[in-house]
Amino acid sequence: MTRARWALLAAAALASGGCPGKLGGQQGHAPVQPIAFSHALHAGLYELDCQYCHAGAERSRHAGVPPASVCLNCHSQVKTDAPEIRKLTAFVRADRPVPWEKVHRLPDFAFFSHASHVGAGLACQTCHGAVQQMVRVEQQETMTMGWCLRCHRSTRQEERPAPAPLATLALNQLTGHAPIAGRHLSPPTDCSGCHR
Amino acid sequence: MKTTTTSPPRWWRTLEERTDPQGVAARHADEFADELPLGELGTATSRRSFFKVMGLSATAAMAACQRAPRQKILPFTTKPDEVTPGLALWYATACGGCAAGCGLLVKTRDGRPIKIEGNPLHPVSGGAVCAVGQASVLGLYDADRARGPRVDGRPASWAQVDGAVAAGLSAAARDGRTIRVLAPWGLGPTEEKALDGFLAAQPTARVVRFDPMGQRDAIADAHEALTGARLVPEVRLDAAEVVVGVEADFLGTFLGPAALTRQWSVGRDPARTPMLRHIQIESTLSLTGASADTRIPLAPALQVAALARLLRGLDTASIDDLVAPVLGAVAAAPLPNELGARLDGVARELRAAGSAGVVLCGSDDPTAQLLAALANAALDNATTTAVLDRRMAARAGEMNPDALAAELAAGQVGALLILGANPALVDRRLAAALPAVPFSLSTSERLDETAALARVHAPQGHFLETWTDHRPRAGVEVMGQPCVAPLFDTRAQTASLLVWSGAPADDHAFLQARWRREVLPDAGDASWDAAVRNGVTGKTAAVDSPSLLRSPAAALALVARGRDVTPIGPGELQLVLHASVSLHDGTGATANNGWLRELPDPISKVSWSNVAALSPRQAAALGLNDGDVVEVRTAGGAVELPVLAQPGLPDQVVAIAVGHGRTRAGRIAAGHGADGWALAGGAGAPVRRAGLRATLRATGRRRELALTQTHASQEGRALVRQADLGELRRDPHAGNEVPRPATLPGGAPRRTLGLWPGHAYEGHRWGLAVDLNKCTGCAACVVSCSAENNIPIVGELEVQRRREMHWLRIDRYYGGEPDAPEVLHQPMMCQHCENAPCETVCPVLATVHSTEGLNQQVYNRCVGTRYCANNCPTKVRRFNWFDYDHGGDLGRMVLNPDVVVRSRGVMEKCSMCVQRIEEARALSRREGRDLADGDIATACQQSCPAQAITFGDANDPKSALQARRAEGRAYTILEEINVKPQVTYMTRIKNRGETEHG
Amino acid sequence: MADHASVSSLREPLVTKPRTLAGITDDILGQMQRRPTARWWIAFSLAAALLLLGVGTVTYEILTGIGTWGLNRTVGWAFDITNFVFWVGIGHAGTLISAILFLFRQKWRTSINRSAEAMTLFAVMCAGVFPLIHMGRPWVGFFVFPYPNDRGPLWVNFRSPLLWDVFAISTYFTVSAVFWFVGLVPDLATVRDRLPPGLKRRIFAVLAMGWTGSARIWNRYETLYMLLAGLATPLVLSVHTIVSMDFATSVIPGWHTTIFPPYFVAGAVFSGFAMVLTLMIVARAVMGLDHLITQRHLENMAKIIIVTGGIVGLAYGTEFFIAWFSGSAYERFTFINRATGPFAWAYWIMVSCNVISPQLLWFKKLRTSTVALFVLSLVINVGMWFERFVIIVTSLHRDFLPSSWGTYAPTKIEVFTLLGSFGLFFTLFLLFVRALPVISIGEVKSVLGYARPKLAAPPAEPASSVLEVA
Repeated sequence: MTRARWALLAAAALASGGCPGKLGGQQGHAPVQPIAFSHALHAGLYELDCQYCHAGAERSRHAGVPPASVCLNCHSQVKTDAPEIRKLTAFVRADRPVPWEKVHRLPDFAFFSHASHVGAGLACQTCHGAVQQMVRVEQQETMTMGWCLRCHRSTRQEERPAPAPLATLALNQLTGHAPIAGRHLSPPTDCSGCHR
Repeated sequence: MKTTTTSPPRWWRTLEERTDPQGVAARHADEFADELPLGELGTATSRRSFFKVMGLSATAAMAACQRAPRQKILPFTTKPDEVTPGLALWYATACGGCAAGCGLLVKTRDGRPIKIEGNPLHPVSGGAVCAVGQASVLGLYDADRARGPRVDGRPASWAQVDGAVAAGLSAAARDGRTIRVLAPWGLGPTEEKALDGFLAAQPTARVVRFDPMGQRDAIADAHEALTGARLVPEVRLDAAEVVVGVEADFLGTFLGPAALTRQWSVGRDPARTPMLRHIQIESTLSLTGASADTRIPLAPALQVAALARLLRGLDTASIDDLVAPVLGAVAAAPLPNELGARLDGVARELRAAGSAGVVLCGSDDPTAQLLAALANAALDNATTTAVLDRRMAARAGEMNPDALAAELAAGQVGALLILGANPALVDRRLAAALPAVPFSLSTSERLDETAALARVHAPQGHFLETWTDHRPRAGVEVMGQPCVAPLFDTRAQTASLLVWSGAPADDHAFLQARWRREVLPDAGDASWDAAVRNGVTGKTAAVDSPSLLRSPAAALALVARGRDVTPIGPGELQLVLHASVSLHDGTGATANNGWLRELPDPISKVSWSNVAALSPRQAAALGLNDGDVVEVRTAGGAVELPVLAQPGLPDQVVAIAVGHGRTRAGRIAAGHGADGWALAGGAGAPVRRAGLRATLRATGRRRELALTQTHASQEGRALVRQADLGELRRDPHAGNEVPRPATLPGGAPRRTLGLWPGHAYEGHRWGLAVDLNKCTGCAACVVSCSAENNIPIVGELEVQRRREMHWLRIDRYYGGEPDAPEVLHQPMMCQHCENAPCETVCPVLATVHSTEGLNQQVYNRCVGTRYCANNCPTKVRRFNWFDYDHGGDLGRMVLNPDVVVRSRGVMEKCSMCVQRIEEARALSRREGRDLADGDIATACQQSCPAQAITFGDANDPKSALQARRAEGRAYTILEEINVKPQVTYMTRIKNRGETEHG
Repeated sequence: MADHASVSSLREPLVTKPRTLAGITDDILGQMQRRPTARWWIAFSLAAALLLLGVGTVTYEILTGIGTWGLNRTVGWAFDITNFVFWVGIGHAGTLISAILFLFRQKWRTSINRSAEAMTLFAVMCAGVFPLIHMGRPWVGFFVFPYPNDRGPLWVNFRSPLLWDVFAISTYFTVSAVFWFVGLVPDLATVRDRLPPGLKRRIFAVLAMGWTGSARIWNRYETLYMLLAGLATPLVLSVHTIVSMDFATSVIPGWHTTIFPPYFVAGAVFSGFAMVLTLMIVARAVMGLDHLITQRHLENMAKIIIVTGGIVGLAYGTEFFIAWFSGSAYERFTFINRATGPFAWAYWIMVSCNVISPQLLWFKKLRTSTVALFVLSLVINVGMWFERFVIIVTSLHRDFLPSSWGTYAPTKIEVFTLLGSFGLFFTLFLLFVRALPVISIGEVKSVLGYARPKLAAPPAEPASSVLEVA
């Protein structure tokens, strides 16, 4: 029992008294980012496809934040002298990653796969809100277990048809099974669907 | 393949840490700096303990309104093409765990190897990996590996090392002293080539071949005496009908156990005619002996006599010019009549099998090996089951350790280079002489007992960090590509040898050059890429076996070198030093590997330490109980060890596993067991692993054994079921219950009564089948499970308290007489009962049934009442009694990011690798298809060398699982309490032959 | 209680010394007004020390892990649940005495029901501690309550006996507490009226809830008391029935037993009365109340102990018979192992304490000897603790798969925790005897039995003392 733990005990007791926030903690979380990147501009005005930058979304658990090299695809030419772009190029020159602030955060015991959801034809906005209108990204949904399950359950009930497999995957199939038609989406409602 | 850069830090947990070490370090130093007004207090605690204390003040609401800690996302500045965060990359490589060179597939996440599986393309091992191979990925993150080279005990640069070597070699040449290179068996062909280069550059240099257990040395001596070529036969059990193992633990530690187990299991299929018949003659109860149909306990003193008797019983007409003189020269102790009769029976069976029979001898006595080699020659199996191929012969003029010891004693050696091996631990003559050698060097991966005595330590990296290759069979080459950049400042042995032979080259370039020149059909990039991708190339070539020398001279010379076999008197004990499954090289190269140390010995069930094993009768006669510490003394020295009464041992034997009690292996190895090598010969005498006279003295002290199983009898409960092959041929349900018909006499369907309505499994219904007839208890599955599911190591003390965390354990029961016990193995994991007792009792729904028949455990819901574990009839549930350490920053790199690391106070258990199920399902959905049988393999199934485990969908009538369940041997345990396990076991079948009855 | 005041002249007097109404009040409240005696201080400091030990130990255990206990993968419960069941059992006599004996018009209960109820409450408090601290993660212990949440929502497992426990115990505690407090109200008023103005008086004034002692209030009060008694009675049966289901509904041989509910209830009453005896004997000795808590009380309780002890003994026998009769190899082994296995010593302690020793009470000599009763009551409490230990540990340590058979030995952490629970119990009880009337003044006065011809008319007194109460 260290001094610190006693102090934590006290702190906890205090905190329990004057708890400011509301249930569903993270909703509305919109941290300031090291570079004032505007989704409203890129995704909204210029209508860049989400997966142009978040390339992992289709294949991996993590959608991924683009490496600076992706930004430079354009910004080695475009608006190179803008102050925010200068910040970016500074990071690149120093070979240091841009320390983005995480907005949407799931606890480590919940396994979420972007690939599964994108593969099921979900629009990014369903969970992330109208990102294309956000100048600074904010968490719109509660992202609680109940919130996930509501969608999983309703999708099962409505027997929504599953979209055709993504071309990229049809190519790198591991096993030679042919896609079958007329499938319904059946998102997991078992615990182990997300907790392993 | 490079997936990591070498920019500091050299090793890292997250991409974030790799790219921004300062930032991470800063945040880790004070995790709460941002979110909590704790100041430096935060440093003394952790986020987890914060939530504990916070929860203690019972404030659920507060937990909810607590802002999650801020996290940063640090992307690559420029992303390597093949890396996608969250996606695993698999690399084919070769196992460096022993000389066998099995094929591996290594799973890496974010550049970190985290799991090893078998490479099914490998023609010899065919996807099998043993426990040591499975665990080698943890060895990569061993904090006690050498961090860099040393000269004269001080850290040095590689330039300094190479300088020291050049000086040492030239000094030796100047002083007219010889140069010796001590190399282990099973260096890869490329390493051998580099070694050739070195030998060419140093005319006085010769190679000393070193095998800690002395087996390969003796086998090579024997075959050299018979054929002129230093050969170790390549055993092919899949072609065998009768295999006789003499002191050869070929399913556990001898030659290539994984591949041999795979071949053995093929032969053991009762549907195969003839089913492989396995006879074992041994002085310890080995894993192999435990699985044998017939086992003959034999004291070492009688070994040569027994082999001679065996040889006499064979048809040696064709080679009598060799056999007769040898048998004449061999001084054989008299055999008891009953034993002799049994051996004659064995000989008859071998004779009947002809070239489909094989004798495997694991003795370190050249005479014994000579007799075994002659037996195989008599069976004429050099092209079928004990393959001898000239192309696999070691280079001519290699010495054995005894010759080296003589040179050292005479002070003729000017420079001694030791490649990876640790001879000082085994051979005290070398240990004594090494400091006196003007120049000595070791390339071992850690500063071990030998490296500590050598002037220069030039550590080689882990095999997952370097380019290696193997030639397990003539014509077959295995590629061992690195899967991660070196974590520490180490250098591949090949590269070192090249530098020291004056032709510096990068090991990658050198290996590639050799492959393009010698191995690949065409030197093109395509074939090279294919070889790297598949990890193996070439195919089994026609055997080119050497012919026997027609003169017995060499053989007789070998016999003359033989050992005294004067029989030991009553009351006298003979020492047997043997390798164990977790430390199977004998020098404890894996002694610092927590997975392997916590792995209980498959037979004795002792983990972490070794024991002095005595037969129950002998122990009783000496008035010793399990755990009584005795002093075992031989001419060589003495060690103190706790006693274990081990059924199946000859009464004259005291057996000790070697590789324990290492002093310089590292933090995990320290303080566990005692070093048996201290007994093996002593300063002046040659090393002997078996037959030394030993005396026991009780010290009066006791030491608790870390046993994972303390009760050996089944108490008449039908848990492991067994039948004879004959019975099975007559009745497919032999040894098993005949299933009741699905309908009652009236024609009405038979229902089992139950309180619960039961479950409707509309989609899949997962289940396992375990074939007890194939399972040898080798425990590869246990290690594989630990690696896949982030199972913590709890340490010897906690194992003594019966708190090991293994999700999958192997129950071992004895039956029959203590002298010659039946040994039964039963892998026991969560049975995923359909009426699961654990599910009804959990107050918070932390363990519930899935719609696919899995019994799910939800860690983050568990409050830890342990009610489920109490109510579990198989006691497979494991509770986190403490927060377990996963090996610090380095050790945590091996954790599987697809499985939660459980915190203190929650229950856990086998999930049937649900993470693999979900991953395969997600992929199949994205591909727009349904899961197919075989898409999913659980970790235990994938790694099982005997292919005893089958996972599948019980709702798919065509699945392999259903095929196994349809067999008459299939049964489930504890049917009487109606829990309806989803794990099916299959009756064990014994192929008792003539020896048993005749 | 006027309406029960008519006492037969044939009965033994319930209050042995002739006392005036005022005298009764003095006797009882005197305890509260006098300074604590040296003996009280010694007892209290002992109890408080044990309590502190317990608190320290539990804090350490919660911050370090359940690993500090002697449990292992085979034996997942031992001291923790043993203590829980033990204390719940103790808690039974209180309600039984106060509610059931009340409904049966057992007058003799009047002088002991107050402290018996107090004992119940404190025992249940002690019991309640263990389900919490035996959790691996007590900081998420609130998961066991069905409360609205945004996890799907995620509810509790209504099939789990542990959950039934949560409801049973909390109900039992609430009802017992209310019952006890309602019984206290008239006496609280008496105390209030006797106190000089000041903080203490104000506190008691609040607790007395404006009691005036008017006939109407008495009338309603007794109706309420009767109703509560009726409400409490089924709980006596329900609580331990449900506790027994923790074991009875499992599959483990030795737990999976249908006779557990009656078996456990009888055992609970058995141990409960033993504990009441222990406390009463001490109390009347220390506080000189032996004219109110008479030999007769003790003897009656001794008789109840004989009966319940008999039931317990019968249950032990039945278990063995059924184990043999069932034909189940596992069952048979478990019970043979109980009597002859590594924990046989515990089993035979249990049998000799719970079955053999109560038989001594057939002798009137022993039944009426305070010393003998005191010793026996302690012996029985020990025996009942061991009964729970035997049921839990011997059943777990060798169940279905011999490969997992193991053993169990407690660590000192567990022993200290048990001692700590006794510390909590006695600390609370000693504070109770100082702070509140240990005997129900009003009820005792109702059994003084002035109607007896033998007894002279009450000595003349200022009526005021009578009015104080009635």
